[in-house]
Amino acid sequence: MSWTIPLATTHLATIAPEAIGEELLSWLAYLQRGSVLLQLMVVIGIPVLMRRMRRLYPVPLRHHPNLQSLVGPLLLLLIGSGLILLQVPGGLIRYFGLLWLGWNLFTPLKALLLHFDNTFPVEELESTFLKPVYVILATLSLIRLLGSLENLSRIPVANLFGVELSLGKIYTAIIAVYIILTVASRPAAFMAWVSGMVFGVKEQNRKGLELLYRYSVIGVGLLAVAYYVGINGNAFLAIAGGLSVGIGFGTKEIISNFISSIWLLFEGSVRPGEILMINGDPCTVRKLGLRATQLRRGRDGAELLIPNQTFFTAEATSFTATETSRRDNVDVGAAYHHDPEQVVSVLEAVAAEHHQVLDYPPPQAFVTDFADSSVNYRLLFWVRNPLLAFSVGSDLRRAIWTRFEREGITIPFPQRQVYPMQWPPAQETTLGLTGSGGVMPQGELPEAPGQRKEGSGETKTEAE
Amino acid sequence: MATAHRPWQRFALMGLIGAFLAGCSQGGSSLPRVLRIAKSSTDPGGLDVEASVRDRRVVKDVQALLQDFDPGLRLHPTSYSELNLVREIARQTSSGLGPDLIITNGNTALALQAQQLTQPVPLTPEERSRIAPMALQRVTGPNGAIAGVPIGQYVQLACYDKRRLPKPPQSLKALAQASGKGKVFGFALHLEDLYWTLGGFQATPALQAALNNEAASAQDNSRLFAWLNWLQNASFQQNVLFLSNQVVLGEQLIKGQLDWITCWSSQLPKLRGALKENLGVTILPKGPIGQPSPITRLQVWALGRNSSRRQRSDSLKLLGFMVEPWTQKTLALNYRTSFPVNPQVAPIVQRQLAFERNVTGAHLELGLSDKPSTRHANAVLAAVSTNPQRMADVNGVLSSVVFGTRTPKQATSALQKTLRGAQP
Repeated sequence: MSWTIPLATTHLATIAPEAIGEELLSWLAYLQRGSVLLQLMVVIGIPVLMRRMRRLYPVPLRHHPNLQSLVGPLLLLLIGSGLILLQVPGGLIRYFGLLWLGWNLFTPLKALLLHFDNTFPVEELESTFLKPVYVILATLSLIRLLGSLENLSRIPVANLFGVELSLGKIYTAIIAVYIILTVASRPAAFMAWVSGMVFGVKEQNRKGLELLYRYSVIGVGLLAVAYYVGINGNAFLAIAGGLSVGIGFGTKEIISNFISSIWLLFEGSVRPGEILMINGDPCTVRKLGLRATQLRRGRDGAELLIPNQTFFTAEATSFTATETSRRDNVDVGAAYHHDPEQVVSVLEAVAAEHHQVLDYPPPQAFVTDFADSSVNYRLLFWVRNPLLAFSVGSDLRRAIWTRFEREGITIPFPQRQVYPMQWPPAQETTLGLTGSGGVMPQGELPEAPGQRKEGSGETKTEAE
Repeated sequence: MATAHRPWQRFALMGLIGAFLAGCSQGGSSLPRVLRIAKSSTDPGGLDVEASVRDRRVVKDVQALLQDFDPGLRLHPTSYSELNLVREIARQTSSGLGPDLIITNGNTALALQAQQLTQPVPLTPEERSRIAPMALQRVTGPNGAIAGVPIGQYVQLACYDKRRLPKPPQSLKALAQASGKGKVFGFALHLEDLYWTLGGFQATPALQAALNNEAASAQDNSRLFAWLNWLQNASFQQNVLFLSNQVVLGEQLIKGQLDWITCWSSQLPKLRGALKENLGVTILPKGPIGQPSPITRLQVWALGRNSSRRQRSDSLKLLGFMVEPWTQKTLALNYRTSFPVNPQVAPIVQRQLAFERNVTGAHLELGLSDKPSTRHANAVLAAVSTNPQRMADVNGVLSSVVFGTRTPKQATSALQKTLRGAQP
């Protein structure tokens, strides 16, 4: 029995799993043997027994779970080896004992590693490398013990683009792809580091370079796997032909995002570590993925996932594209009676004293407005890291307040004086402040007709 | 509640598993009747995928033939390289997962028997009568136990490319002349593969004497020296190559890097498939004072140790079926790679194959018949093959001659020492 996946008039792939079915069927023949059944009973029985007998362990063992976990496997090993010595089949028991022992040794080994170096990424190593490798080796050794490794690794079970694929090739290819995907970052990081050392690439650019190298290593690795499997250039053409139709319809967005990510990397505008303004908020680029870019918003620490093509098609403000310095400003008002020269010099001095304000370009203060109640000034300053601008601004405002207090410079608040008016106005009632002629003072509103409070003579002051 | 029930659930689960396993052993009739067969590669050297697939097809063909005789019995072959076979069988047997039948050559069958990895085959007188006595003798161990049932035998021949070598050499002298004219010849550097050249120098008695721990006559010694001298002179020729094994020789003939090689009849399907009508097959060239002394490689089916009673009974029935005249003739003529061991069928197949290969039946008989030279060969090869250390020592001596690190005179005494059981 075989299944064929037709593509137009040609046959893309044929799967003939009957060889695997036969192999599995032949394993049933082992169950007709008394020696195999006896071994299986021991292999199943001992772990169950060990769980029930846990309370009966001697005292020294009861407080050491790591040692307890070795008792069962060692017992299996002992029984298996004993049977073999007696010329009775016991290899299966010994094999499962070894397998169990190996698995249970992970925990004490981890503890031992952490004992020597508690910064060692042992959990990551275990989950991404050690345990997968262990499972792969265990599977292979079990199939070998069952006498099926040669068959399963060599007998063709599928045909892809005219290439005969054996289960061994498929298995090896899957392992190779897993290793390439998980390990590719290491040589890429090394190459980026070397590039940095040799060509003087900046730290930020190195991350982008590393990603580029990583994609290259993965790309070359996948090509190598494909060639190992036996898929040749013609097959790639066939795949490309098939995909081109798919790209036109279903996978357009994915491919667009992928191509955008590669382009952005080459262009160097969106690299890990860059600071971009997204909707008015500065965000740090954390990771440039194949589909989307991961950013961290400085305001609230939220993680943003933005499709790569957004950066490709929409406008984005970067504070780190060519240089990382950012200019920010602090607005402040001072009372009219202070000499602007004095205020400007005080403001510039305050900024210059802050250690995170760059010396060059130097901080500068400007008079920006003669406002209602104050003369307004703007202090411009540069910081090296755009994300620091907010906190430096806050620091400067505090420092300005303190310095103004010391220097006797007042920061006025808007004041409004309301005078009662007569209607029709008497000739002698004029506002001394603004001179004669009935000119309304700036910022002063007339009372609405009919709302005059006769003889009140009160003065209202509004503070902002 | 759930916690209170858990122990009972465990007991129930264990009971179910126990019942299932017990059911498997008792009611075996419900399980498919499958015999697992381990097959070592027919040709010395590594295991190639094409050969595995071909071997699998042959076993499946046997299964198809078997259906009229014993319906429902399935054969499940697994191929191993000859080098790994003993190790793999030992590993599987110690786990109770050993194969029911092992198909290998005579010497490996004896080695497996010596390590108690196979069960001696009980043959009835009727079954014995269906197997050539010489073949049976070659698989009989020192204690008289039969290590396996011989089913077929492969002969050693000369294979060449007709386009590049229109006329194959009939003698070693002609071979040397042709190599001088640019024709490239290939040999495998292994005692079993070079054994045929001993006959041309009549050097086997010296080896036999050494094996029996007897002193060889001066004439026998000089003949052994002459053979080793020829080996060294041949290796010094530019167009005579000594390669590691027969499989490599076959590959180089297909690629056109060699014009003439020694080959086993088991290699013919692969060579024929690649070279088509350009493949020439003939007998091996004679030597200066005698005919070549080719030997045969037996195909032996041995019984594994771990089979259940029913699997053992099925295996024995299958072995009986394999030596039936009808099966022997059908398989020999279907694949045309091996000669039958059944004395009733052998002459028929021999005549047919001799006609096809343009040689006389007498030529093809070389190595098949019960002649003194064949008996010597079998004794020498069995003594060497069943002892890995001795095998390595003998091949080491041959390599040293070919690579010129020992003179033929030194090699003569080293070879005799090795066969006597001492270090060379």
